[in-house]
Amino acid sequence: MSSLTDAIREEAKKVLSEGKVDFVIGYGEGDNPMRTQPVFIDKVEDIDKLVWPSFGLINLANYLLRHRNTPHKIGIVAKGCDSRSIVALLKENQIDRDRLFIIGVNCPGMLSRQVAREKAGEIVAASSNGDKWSFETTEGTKEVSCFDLMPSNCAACRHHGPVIADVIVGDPVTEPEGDGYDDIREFEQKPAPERHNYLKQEMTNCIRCYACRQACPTCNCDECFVDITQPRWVDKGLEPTDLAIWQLIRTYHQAGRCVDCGACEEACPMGVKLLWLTRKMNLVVRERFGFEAGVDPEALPPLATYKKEDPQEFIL
Amino acid sequence: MKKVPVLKTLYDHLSKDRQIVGLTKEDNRYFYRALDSFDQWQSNVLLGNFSPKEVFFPQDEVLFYFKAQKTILPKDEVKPNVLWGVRPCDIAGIGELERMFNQVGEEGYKDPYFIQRFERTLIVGLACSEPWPSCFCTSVGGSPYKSEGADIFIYPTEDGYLIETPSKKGKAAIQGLDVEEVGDVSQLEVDRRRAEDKIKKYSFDGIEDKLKSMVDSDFWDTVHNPCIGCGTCAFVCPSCHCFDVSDASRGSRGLRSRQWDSCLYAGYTLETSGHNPRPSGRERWRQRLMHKFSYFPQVFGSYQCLGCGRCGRACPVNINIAELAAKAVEWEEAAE
Repeated sequence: MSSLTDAIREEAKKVLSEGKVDFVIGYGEGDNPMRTQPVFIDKVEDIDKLVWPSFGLINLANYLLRHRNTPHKIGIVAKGCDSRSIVALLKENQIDRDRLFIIGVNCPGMLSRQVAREKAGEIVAASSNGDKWSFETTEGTKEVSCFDLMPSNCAACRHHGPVIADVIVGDPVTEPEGDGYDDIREFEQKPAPERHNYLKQEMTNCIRCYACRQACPTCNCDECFVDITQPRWVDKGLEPTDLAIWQLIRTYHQAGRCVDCGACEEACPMGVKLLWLTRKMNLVVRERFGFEAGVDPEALPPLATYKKEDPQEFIL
Repeated sequence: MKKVPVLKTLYDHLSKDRQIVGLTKEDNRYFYRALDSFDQWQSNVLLGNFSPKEVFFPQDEVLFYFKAQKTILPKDEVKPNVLWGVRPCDIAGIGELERMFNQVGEEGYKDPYFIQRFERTLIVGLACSEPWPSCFCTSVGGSPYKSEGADIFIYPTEDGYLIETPSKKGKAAIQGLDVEEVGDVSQLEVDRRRAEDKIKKYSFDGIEDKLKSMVDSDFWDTVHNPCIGCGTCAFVCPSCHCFDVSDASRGSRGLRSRQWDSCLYAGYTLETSGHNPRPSGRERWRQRLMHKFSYFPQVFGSYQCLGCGRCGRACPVNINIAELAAKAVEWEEAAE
C-alpha cells in the first residue's frame, strides 16, 4: 500500500473521529488494479476503503455539486486539479468553504485508461510491477512503462500540489519548467486543413452520451443547453454538425473555468480527444488574460470581471 | 453436429449472397460493422465496445420525414444480413430486444423498424472458450456455450469448428456447405464446464421478489453515490432499449427520429411542469436495478441483464451492476 494511501487514511480518520465532517469523499478500489471507484466514508471502521489510485483521473470536486443545498460538512481528497476545481466552485458560489475539509494531496500525476488502450489495445486484465504495467489484451500480453501511460494533461501539469487545503499529504512535487502547452503550440503549427480534418474526425466519434459533461465539476448548469427543448439550440441525434456544436459550445462554456483535470477525456467511452479543445482554450485565456482557472483563490475569473486593458481588438 | 476445419469456409459460404456484419476495429475500439473480408473480423475480441444492439436498433434512427401535411417513411435499406461471431450473452441481448420490440399477442407492441431488421438477420453465434474476468453470464441464466437464440452456432475445438444449427433458418443457410458429420461431441460438455468455471459467480437468489419489497429501502440512499449520471452503461448495454423521440424541422419540412436514452439522465423523467419524479441518483439507480432484475422478469420471465459486463468496463467510475444486484440481495437477506 502506498504511503499516500496511509497518509490519506490517517487524515480522514482524524477528521471523521473528531466529528469535523459527516463523510469523506475519496478514491476507492475498483474491480481491477487499473480501475478506481470514488467512495464516501462516513464511519471510521470503513477508513481502509480509501486508497490512492494509479488510474485516478476522476475529479472528486464533481461530487460536491450534489451537496450545494445539503447541510453536510464534507471532507474531500483533492489532488492539484481537484483543488483548483474547488476554488473555481467557491468563486462561483456553488459551495461554502466552511463546509469543506480539504485533504490536499501532492499528486505525482495519474495514469490514463485511454492512453493504456492506445498503447496496449483492448485490455482484459492488468497488473503492475513497480514502474511497469502488464496488460493482458486481446492481442497478447503487453508491457508499458508508467511514464508512457500519463495523459497529456498530467504531463503538462504545473500545479501538482493543492492550491487550497486544510491539510496536505505527500511530498511536494517539483514542477517542470515551461508552461506545459508545447504540444498545443506544436499542433497549431500544422496546416489548417490537417487540424480541421483531425478535429472533425474526433468530433464525429462523439456519441453524445454526455459522460464528459457529467464527469466535469465545472459543467454544472442546472439545465444544459443541449437538453433545452424550447427553444431547441441543437438537434438531437448524431449529425456531425450537431456533434461539433455540442463539443465547441461545451468548450467555450469552460473559458477561464477549465482546470485541465482530464476527467472529461478519461470518461469518454469513445476516446474522443477532448483536451485539444479545452487546453487550446486554456492557453488562449492564459496568454490574453494572464489567468489560470482555480489557481489563485483571490483572483476573479476573466468572464466575471472587466479590465480596461483587456485585449479587445476582436470587437468590431 | 457438423464440422469444418477452418471458419473461413463457413464465412465464404454465407457471404455469397449476404452482407456479413461482424466485429471490426476502428480507432482502438470494436464495433459491429459490415465486413469486407474474413480477415477484417476481430476473432479474438469477445465483446465489441458497443453490443450488436445497434445493428437492429441504431442509436439515431429516422422514423419518418414530413413535408407540410405529408409523411414519408424512410427508404428500406436493409440488405439480408448475417450477424457473425456473436457471443451467447449478446445473442441473449438480442432476444431481450425481441421480447420488447416484437411482443407476442395482438395487443403486444410491434416495432416495425426493429422487426424488419431482425427478421432478415441470420445470427451466427460463437462459444467463448476464454471468457473475460468481467463476464458473469452464468449468474443470469447464461453460459459461454449456450446456443439458444442463434441460427447457426460455432464451437471452437482443438482441430476445427463444430457447427450446430438450432433454427430452420440456420439449417437452410448451410445447405450445400462441404462439412464432415461428427457423431461424438462429448468433448463439448468438458469444454463448456471448463469455460463456465472461469466465470465469476454472483448470487441473485430470489432477487426479483426481494427487490419488490425494497422500494423504500435505505439501500438506495448510498448505493448510487459514485454514479455521475452519464449514459454510458445504457448505451453499451445489449438489452437497454429506452429511446427518446424528437423532431427536427426547418419551415414545414422535417423529420421525426428517435435516439437512445438512459434512465440515469436527469432529463429522463423530467416532466413539462418542471417536476421530476426521480430527482436524484437514488431513484434513478433504484429504477435501473429494479427494471433489470425485477420488473422485466415479472413481465417477460427473464433478467434484463445478460452478464456481458460491458457496463462495468465502460463506466467512468467502474460501477458493476452485478455487484450492486448481489449487494441488494445481501441487504434484504440481512433485513429479513
